[in-house]
Amino acid sequence: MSWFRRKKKKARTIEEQIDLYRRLPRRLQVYREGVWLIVMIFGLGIAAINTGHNLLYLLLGFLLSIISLSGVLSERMLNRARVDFLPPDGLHVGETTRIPVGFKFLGRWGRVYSLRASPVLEDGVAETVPAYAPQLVAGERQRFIMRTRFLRRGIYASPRARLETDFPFGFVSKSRLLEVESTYRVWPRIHPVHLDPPTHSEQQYSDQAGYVSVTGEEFFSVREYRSGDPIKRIHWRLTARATRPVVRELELPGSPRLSISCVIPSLDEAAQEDAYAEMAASLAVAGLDAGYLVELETPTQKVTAQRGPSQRRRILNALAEEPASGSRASAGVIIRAKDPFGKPLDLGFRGDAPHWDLVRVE
Amino acid sequence: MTTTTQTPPAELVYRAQRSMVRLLDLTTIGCVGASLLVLVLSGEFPPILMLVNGIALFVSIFLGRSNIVSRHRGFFNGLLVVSLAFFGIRAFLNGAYIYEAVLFMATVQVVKLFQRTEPTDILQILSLAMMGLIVGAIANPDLIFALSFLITLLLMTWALLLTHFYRDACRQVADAQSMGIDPDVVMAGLTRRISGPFVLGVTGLSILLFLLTATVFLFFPRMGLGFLFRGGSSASVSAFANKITLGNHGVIHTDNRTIGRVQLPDHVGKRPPLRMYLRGRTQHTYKRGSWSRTGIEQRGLGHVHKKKSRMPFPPKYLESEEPVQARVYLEPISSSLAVLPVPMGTTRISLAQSRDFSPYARHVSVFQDVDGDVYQNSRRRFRLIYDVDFFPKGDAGGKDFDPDDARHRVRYLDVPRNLSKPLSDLALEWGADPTNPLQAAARVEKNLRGRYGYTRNEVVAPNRDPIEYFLFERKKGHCEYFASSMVLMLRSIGIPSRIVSGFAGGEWNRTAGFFTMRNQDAHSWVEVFIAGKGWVHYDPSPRVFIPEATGVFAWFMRQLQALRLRWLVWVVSYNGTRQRQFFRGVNTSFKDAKKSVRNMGPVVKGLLLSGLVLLFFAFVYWRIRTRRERRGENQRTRPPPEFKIIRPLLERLYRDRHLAEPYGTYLRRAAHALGSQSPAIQQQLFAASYLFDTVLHDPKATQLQRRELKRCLRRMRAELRSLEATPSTDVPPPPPLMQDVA
Repeated sequence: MSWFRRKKKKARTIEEQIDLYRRLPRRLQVYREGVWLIVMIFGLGIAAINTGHNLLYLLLGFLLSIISLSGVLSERMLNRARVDFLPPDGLHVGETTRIPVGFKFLGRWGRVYSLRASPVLEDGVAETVPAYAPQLVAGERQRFIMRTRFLRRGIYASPRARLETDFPFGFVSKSRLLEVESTYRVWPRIHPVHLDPPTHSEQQYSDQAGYVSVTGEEFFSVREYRSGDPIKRIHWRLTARATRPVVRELELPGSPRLSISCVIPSLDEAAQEDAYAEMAASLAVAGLDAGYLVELETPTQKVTAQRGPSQRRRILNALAEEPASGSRASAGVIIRAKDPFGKPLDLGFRGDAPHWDLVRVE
Repeated sequence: MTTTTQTPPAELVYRAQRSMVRLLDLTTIGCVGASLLVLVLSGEFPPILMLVNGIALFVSIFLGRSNIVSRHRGFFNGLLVVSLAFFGIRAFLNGAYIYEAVLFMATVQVVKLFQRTEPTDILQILSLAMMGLIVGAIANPDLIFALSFLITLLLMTWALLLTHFYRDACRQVADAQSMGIDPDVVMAGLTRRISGPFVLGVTGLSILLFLLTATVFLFFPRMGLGFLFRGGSSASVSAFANKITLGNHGVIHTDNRTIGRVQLPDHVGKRPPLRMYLRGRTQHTYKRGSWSRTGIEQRGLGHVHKKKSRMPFPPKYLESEEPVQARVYLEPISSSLAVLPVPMGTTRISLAQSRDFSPYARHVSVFQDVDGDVYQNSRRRFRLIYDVDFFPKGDAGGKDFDPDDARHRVRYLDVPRNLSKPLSDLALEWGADPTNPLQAAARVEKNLRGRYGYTRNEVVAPNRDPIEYFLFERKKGHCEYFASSMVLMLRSIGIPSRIVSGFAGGEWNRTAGFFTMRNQDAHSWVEVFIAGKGWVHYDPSPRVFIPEATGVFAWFMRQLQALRLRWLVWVVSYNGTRQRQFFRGVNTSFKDAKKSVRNMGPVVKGLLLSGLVLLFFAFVYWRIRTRRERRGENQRTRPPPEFKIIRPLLERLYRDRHLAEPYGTYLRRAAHALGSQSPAIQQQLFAASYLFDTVLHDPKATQLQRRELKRCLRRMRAELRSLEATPSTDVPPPPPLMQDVA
């Protein structure tokens, strides 16, 4: 991009970035054209003061007015604009996500133009195209889209938002920080993995399927209390209505279970660390899609076996948060598949995931 | 992995926002045109280059978003290198670095006009236009600069704003491309329309920019240190020369380039009060068709004191008592002589105005020689402004003729031997009496005016003296022939006289009360020494002077000239004195206001003071309220203003609103309670409750809905007054407070 040169910046932490604004509440970034303008103003100023030529003073006044008007207008915009971010429950590493950002201009009249908003994140964590509001009407709340691609898994809390504008003349970019919190759960990347669906319970477990007891795991029905039933299974509300004790009847799971154990080693390269989480996440997602009850165990967390979108979210959240703490020897992703009665099952893998070597089947 | 060529962002933005980019193109071209106009009309730059620039500008309007330069990069780069070398060598040889830099800049502009694809290209063109305007300010500070400046101010606002939008859109597209997002998706959210409010807004911005510029111009401290470049552009004039050669004069400047303006502040709106003669240089000795001076350059120069400003050799034989006051605005002129043209009969000259405004004039001193010619000691070329007092009907000034002084006799009585006899014969033939100089001068002047014709066509007389040829054969010529003939004829009969060159006539502008002196107004006349009257002015030339312009456009031209003078006075020569006057004026008006307050009666004073205090509290109240509203506090702690309309009535008829009870709910409950009394009021209360909900909680609630709510509540108020208070017992309990729940 010849027209827009970006300098390679030193990576800054959030605290360092906020600290910059503590010294001056507004931050200015002068573009190349702005530098030309300043040079021109200096040159013209010297010429005017040297010659006393009034028309040079007039032109100097014109250029100075451009600068001051630019400052006043951009200040009005930054001062009275508010933003809030609406991030999704989670987003995957390497995936460009559209995040809605609400803008509101609190001024009583007029419009503001060309506002950009982005969360303050550590440098190098994400690539962000700030939400760009071409125009805001006073008093109206409008929603624009920010596009973000996180480069690492984790939970990123942004305590502030950066509001930026080049309006009106584009010589200088002016920005300020707003006290707007937003949290981004960045789940590991999901690779295309295919897991064979478990053989159907009706064929394989016809004799055991539908075994009902009060000690099972999934709700089946209610029945009258029998002696020896555990007290905690009494359904108190129905008992009160029926005026005799009623217990919940539960059934054993009819689905096979996939257990994933993941230990992420502490390595030099972050991408290599994330590869373990990525494989575990990919296998968990594939297992859930195939109809397994999936459970996850890591050195710090345990997600009990369940199925459905909520389970997917729980597992991905756990993997997003999991720190890299293991040694290289103990690291890896171990998977076990069992039928509802604990009998091991064979798993059939297919797919293009790049880190198969990290996976061990037991 | 496949490599695909991405469409440049600028191209995509252009496709999506064609009208915006076209408007940007037009405003950019307008800015370039405005700066080019000043440069072309200054006449300081080679016409060929200006013509090429003009053509490039014209062609570029139709080319649209051309990228010719990108396609023929080699050729254009070569062109720029060659021109850089060419102008560089020229600058090295002639030392005019800035001038050659401007020419190179004009060449770059031609190239840039053919390449307008990226926002940076536009910004570069605008920068070049701005530089052109800066050069134009020096080369052509005339009224045309004001026009160009205003055009630039208006169009530059548009151009910069639109370039900013263009660049922002390009940046969004480029970022989207870098992240692999379809740019069309991004472009969909960036579409801008040039709507009415936008046009109004930008125009307002231009006006604001103009006002700010004017303020900075007025308040910026004026100084001129003069430590770098010197002088500026200049016009060459024919009126001042060290030598006048008849018959082979060379170029007589007949152009209408303005040399200076003489303003008579007391005669604004009046007819021309006099025929203006701006005295330049006196010549003494005639020899073979040439006039020259006789060695009084250094000797006999009198210094004019900076503060006293009195001339060392002022006119002595004054007919009127009151002098005429005038201010002369002299354009920078290129002359080998530093002559200051002054009105005939000048007694006082002050350069205070110039000294205040130009750093170069600060050290300028003024001198007068024994002939009454006025000089300044600087050879630099710059605009000079000086105030003079003069007596138009008095003598011309200078030292009186002393017949006993041999040098005076040589200067004022010398006639070539071969011309003495024929000229004296002619003078006597015309009835000139050598013993009566007044009568002789009048006779010769009358005869020359009546018998000879005026022409500016020069004819070289072969082997003959030009005056002899003029008087006895050709019998027509220009002012120098007439003046020379009269001087020589009077000298031949023993009357001392001298030839003076300067400017005469000029165009009177009654709107602003000034004469405009142009190159074509250069003139020669005669000063004859008459005992008891001093050096008396005679003009034997039959040239017709038209004091005021006539014709269809005369009024318009007069206004234009007046505007030009005002531009010159208020902008071009705005100086520290005027600035101080302005501040003093402000100070004086403050003092006056203070005085008038002091003189007020106690009642008026009290009223004024209480008004001010009230105003202050109203402001504070307004600020607090707007701040609270902005924070949303108002909604939580205070009832909305609309609610106050019916609150007391509902309190009386029904009950008070509970602190945590929503307004809408409260009104609906009241409607239920009061419905038994009046179904119409119940209906209205329901309607009002929903309007309340909308107005309070919907951010998109319009002003119209708010007004509608107020109207509805006011209508209801009248009807509620007619109802009787019936506090009902079956009123549903209000919702619990949050702290109760906790």
